[in-house]
Amino acid sequence: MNEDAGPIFRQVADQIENAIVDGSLAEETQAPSSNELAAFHRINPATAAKGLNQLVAEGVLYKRRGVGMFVATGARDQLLKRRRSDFADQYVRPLMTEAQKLGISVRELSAMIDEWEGRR
Amino acid sequence: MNRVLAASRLQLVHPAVILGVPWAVVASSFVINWAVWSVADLRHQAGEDGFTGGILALYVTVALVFVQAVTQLLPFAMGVSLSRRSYWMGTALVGILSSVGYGLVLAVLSRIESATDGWGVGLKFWAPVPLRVHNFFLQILVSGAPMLAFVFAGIGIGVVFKRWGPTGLWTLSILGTLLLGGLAVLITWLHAWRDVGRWLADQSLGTLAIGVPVAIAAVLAALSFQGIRRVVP
Amino acid sequence: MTAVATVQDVTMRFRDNTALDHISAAIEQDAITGLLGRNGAGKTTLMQLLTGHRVPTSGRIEVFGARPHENDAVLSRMCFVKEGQRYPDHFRVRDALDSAAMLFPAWDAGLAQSLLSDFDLPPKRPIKKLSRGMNSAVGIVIGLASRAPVTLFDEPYLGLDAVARQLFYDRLLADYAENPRTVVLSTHLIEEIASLLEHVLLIDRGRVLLDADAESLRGSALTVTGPRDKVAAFAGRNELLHSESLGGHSRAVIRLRNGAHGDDARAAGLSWETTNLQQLVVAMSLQTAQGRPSTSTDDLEEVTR
Repeated sequence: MNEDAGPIFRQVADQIENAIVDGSLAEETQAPSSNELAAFHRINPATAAKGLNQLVAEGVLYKRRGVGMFVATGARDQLLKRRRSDFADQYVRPLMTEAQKLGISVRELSAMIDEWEGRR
Repeated sequence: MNRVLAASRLQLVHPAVILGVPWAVVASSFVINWAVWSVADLRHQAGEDGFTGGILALYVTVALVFVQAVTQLLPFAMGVSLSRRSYWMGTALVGILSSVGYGLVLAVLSRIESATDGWGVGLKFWAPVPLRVHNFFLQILVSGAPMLAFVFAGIGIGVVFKRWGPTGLWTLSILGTLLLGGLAVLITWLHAWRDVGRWLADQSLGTLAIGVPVAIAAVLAALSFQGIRRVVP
Repeated sequence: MTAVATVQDVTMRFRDNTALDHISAAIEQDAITGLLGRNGAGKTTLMQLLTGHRVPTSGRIEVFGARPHENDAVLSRMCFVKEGQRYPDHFRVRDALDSAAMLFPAWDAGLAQSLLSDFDLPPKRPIKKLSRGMNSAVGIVIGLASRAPVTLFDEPYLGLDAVARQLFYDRLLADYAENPRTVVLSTHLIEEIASLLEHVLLIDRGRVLLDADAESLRGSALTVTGPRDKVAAFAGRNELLHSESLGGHSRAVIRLRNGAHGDDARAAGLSWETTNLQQLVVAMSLQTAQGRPSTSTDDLEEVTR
């Protein structure tokens, strides 16, 4: 866990979200328990639990009584949708700000994007 | 009570060490004494009293064991969450039982000593003449009671050392010397030596050999119990 | 927060110094609290008071609602693992463990056994023949296997290498997760255990500098870099803990106020990163050392190359 990268419980939640998004943690399967997460990430179980609860609050996970936390149906779509809307704020804004600092026009920017697309 | 018994059991973790050392020390003292007595044929020189203070080695060594009970074992006991009070009581219990045990063994050995005519050389080691009595059970007490005093002296010295360090021990010795010295001066000044001597002679062996040590042990026990409460491990 | 232990206006005075000066704090039950501070800050003294090994000069210490000093009912539910614990000369490793088993009601022999092998401790070896690290490992085994509801570790890893320390943290976490208990862990090695902590108690020169939930501390300070005046302006709107300057640029550790966060720093033209717990602790300790926010602006001359 990166002490510098923001609250640990959020990092835990993010990692689970990543797993859901890339498909390695399927919907309706069980998420790791807070004890497992704590041992794996070497963090306090309470912090791990907080991360899981955060995901429950967001509707990404749900609690099955006496069993544990499960990935909600539709969680993947939900996460993708959220990340798309965050995309602009997370990537486009810094891009534009930096471009502006360097005096790169929007047209130049567009050309750069096409070039990268071509390379792929 | 549970904690007290556990504290007692702590003392006995390595009985070989706790019991072995005093007996090893006194056994070597005995062997040396016997050898000297035999070689120098001291029986005919020393007369009736084949008196040797060699047995003192046993008492002193046992006292040292109990000094260590405070200086070494107490810090560990506190490290496993025993209160000093419980530890003291457990140690005192072992001390009392040891004294009785030692008294018993010494009584038996002194009987054998009598029966073998001083181990064949007229040696009176295990129960020095002043402390030699006919009644077996009385012998247990006479040999064991002083042990009790030495036990609590050991505990007391351990407590002084833990609380006040080597300085404390020096102070204790100086105070002790001053006290005894002062007492001697006082008696001399009062020309009372003969009276003291007569008074001592008048006391029964029971009072002297049992009562006094037990009284001393009781005082030392009370002092060490109070003193141990503030020992920092 | 349920407090299992309370420290109420406690002062501990020794002949030549005051180790703790009118401090008050509460230890949260069934949480891992980090007791942080420099050498001589008063951490060990505080732990000694909590375990009844010493008695405060003034003030009140309570554990499980009662004074711990000479109190068997309280003490039997505590375990104090000290740094450099000494054992009787004739004790072997198993003697120490067997003794502990007699005295801790919740002792888990199976856990002790597996920890012994984890740390490679030979049961029959006399403890005085162990290396310093292995000596510490014995204390750790006792502390963990005791399952004491309140377990205190005072820098228990003296001589333990990084691998063994990691083993300790892992085993502590694993057991704590399955069997929650109150753990107080004092340390210098803040970053190593920062993620384990739920609560932080920072002591400096006998006073409490920080007594807060670890999670909230993590987000509470930023380290910003940028032009000196911009840093100063940003610092002015918050709380400056420590700054250093070189040339026209400064780097400052700043405690955020009024809901400020990283975006505000960026908006102010500064680059920023979250201050981790160790950096925060160091900055705060330096601040008190100088009696004001510490700056190296005056001290640090421009480096001539």
